[in-house]
Amino acid sequence: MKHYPSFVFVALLLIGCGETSVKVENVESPSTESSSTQSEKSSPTIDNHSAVRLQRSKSITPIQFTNRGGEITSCSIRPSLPSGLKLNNDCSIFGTPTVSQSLKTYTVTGKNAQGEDSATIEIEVVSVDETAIKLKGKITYDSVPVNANGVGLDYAHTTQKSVRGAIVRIVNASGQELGRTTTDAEGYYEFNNLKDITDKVKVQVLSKLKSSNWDFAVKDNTNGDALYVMEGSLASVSKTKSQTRNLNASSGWGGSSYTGTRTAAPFAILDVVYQAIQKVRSADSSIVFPPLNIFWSKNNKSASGAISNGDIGTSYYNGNDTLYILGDENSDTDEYDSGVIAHEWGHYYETKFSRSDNIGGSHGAGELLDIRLAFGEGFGNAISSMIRDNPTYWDSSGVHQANGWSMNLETEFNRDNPGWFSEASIQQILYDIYDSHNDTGDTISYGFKPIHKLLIGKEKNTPAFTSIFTFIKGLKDEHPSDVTAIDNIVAQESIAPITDIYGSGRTNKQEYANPLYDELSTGSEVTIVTNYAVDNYLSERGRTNQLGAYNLLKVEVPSEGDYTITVTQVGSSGNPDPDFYLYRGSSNQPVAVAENPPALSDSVTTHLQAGTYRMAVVVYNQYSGTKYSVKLVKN
Amino acid sequence: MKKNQIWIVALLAIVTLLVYFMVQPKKVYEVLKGDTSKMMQKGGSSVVIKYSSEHVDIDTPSSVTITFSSSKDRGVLSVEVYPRQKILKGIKHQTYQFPITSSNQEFKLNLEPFSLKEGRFYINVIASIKGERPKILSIPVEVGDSSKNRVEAPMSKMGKGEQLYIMKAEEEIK
Repeated sequence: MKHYPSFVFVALLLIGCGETSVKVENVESPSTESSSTQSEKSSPTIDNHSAVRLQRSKSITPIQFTNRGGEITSCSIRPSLPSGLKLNNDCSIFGTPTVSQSLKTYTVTGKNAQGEDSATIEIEVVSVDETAIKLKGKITYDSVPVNANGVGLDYAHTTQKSVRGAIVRIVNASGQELGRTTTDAEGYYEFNNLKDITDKVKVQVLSKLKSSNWDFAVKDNTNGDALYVMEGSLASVSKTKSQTRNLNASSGWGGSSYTGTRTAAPFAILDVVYQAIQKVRSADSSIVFPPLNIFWSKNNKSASGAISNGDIGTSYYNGNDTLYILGDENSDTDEYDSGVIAHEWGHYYETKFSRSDNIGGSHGAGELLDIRLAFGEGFGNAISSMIRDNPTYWDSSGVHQANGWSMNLETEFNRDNPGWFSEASIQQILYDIYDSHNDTGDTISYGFKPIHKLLIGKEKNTPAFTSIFTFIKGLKDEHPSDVTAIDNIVAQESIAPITDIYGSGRTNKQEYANPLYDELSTGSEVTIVTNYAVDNYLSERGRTNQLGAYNLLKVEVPSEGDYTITVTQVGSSGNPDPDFYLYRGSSNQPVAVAENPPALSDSVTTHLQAGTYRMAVVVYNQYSGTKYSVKLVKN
Repeated sequence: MKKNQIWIVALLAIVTLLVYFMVQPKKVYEVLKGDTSKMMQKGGSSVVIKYSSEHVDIDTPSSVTITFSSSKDRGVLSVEVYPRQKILKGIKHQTYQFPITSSNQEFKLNLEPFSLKEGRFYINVIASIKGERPKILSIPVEVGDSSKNRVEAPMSKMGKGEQLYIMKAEEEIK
């Protein structure tokens, strides 16, 4: 018997078997035709055949051996073929197997007048097509809703929601991955073609959404940044029928405290991210999201300290590639506060696809805030409701998560201090522009696509600081026929029509009122007045994010060159520390920074391209009402 | 060595040890300080919380001072204080009410928690003004070796080396 390389084709045929549609694998060699170059007077030269798995009661495509010698005129086989299969004189096998049998080796012997040759084949007959046997199921997590009044979690009405878009894998006892798939939009998963699996396996669900366009994962910052995984038990996969394994992530709630593992938490967080992805893809289906890790832990608390110890301060986006989410029982947990998660994800979206000039810091709904902060936080709340298509935003806290706070972006009227400096006003305006529910003054229902287009276009590239002025001016430019309708929505928040990106006509509303933006150009001088409200209140508390704490300037640089910018006190009062930051274009990173130690003056010399810049000046350690001169000089 | 010489050497050793322990400087711990206006915090609250917390030895009261302030000039500041871990003694779950006026926007609490075990513990504080989101803070209290009560969870690794935190699912097989 000679051994030559064999060329085997595998054919997959769909057949019917009982009530199930299954696949069968038949094997055939390319041809038994003798080559025209072969001598008709040579003996047969038959190649071994690869093993075949046949399905009982299913007619097979003839199995043919490759013969490189003379034509076969008669053929025999040892032992006898499985019942129902027959042998042709050319050694091909045909018929319909009628009895199952395990893998068995057969030897065929082909003869002609010049001689004979033998070859082997392994044949297995199975009762059903194993390629059609599935391991499937549905993945869910315990979702704990908020109480009807928006305050506190309602564990009594916990429901099971689908884990959507998550990675599911099957692993054997030693943790070796044998298959991987993704849950669908209903939480279902399915593994096909389990014929090679002989081990007991368990199903694992990774708290990870991953495709070629996104990579989001929920991990534990207090345990080596480990990826959360829920898993089922180690059990055999049936060789004869499909198996369903449904997995649910439990909340771990024991009635008055968490008594079990809080398996559901990472998947509750992941589901908000899934919704966020779908929302953005509704505006741009080909968008590619930069990777983001979301760190949640039951140890994550509102404390200052080491992040690896869970002392994260609060749920927040770090401005780059990480979200931190609170999980501290009896104080503040956020895994079921979907609005909080969507808000923080919104900051990631804004930073990665648009531009965020938000300076952060402590802020309240009724406060007069720096316009950059007011827009950033108002945007965060608005996109949170857009992602979830739910105007209610809640944040549970306290003992048993029974307390907390909520707001409704559709009904929160009569608030303190509405205006362009209020995050509450901004979130209401943005949500009214988005939503399909028309209420007082709101006749616009744009949905997400126009908002996304504006954010990644005009808003990202605006020469001014991002604020309600840049957003509304951009929106009006892109929807000129809706200018009146947009003005009406804005007017509901006591904001006069917005006509430019700098908020012309507005002042910082403080005791020493400056224009919202001063204009600075080469050779000119602008005088600003410090405004830390009464008795240095803001400075004492580090609250430089209040309206008027920073003075904003529009800076025109007429031609490329080296420039010196100087901020100098008019007088010599105290030990002040003037600092300033100069920005240009779509970046929120300054092109020039002056942060020298306290002095009456600070300056920076830098090379600038011609164009429009934006500048923010802040003076620390200085009482209200002190004047400073700002100069731009070309060297 | 004669017997009395052995006694002298032993006596000297004991005296040396006693002197060593008597003159050994008392451990100096840092005072932990925090300020919510300088921390990442959720929006929606005008309340600023500052604290100082003395790192102490076992069974020694820590001096914890908490200051609350608000830019509001009216309303009532409600403050809930309770230990995060029961092992932290000396404080009870308590609620305080502070009326806010234009001339009184700052309030102070002094607490003296202690613990019979080492570790880093926390006092939970929830400060709220009606209509605002509560301001929540966990104030650390460090006792002795503050790393003592850290608990690591068991982990395994995925093939390519990623750490996994495995949690049991509720499972139905059919």
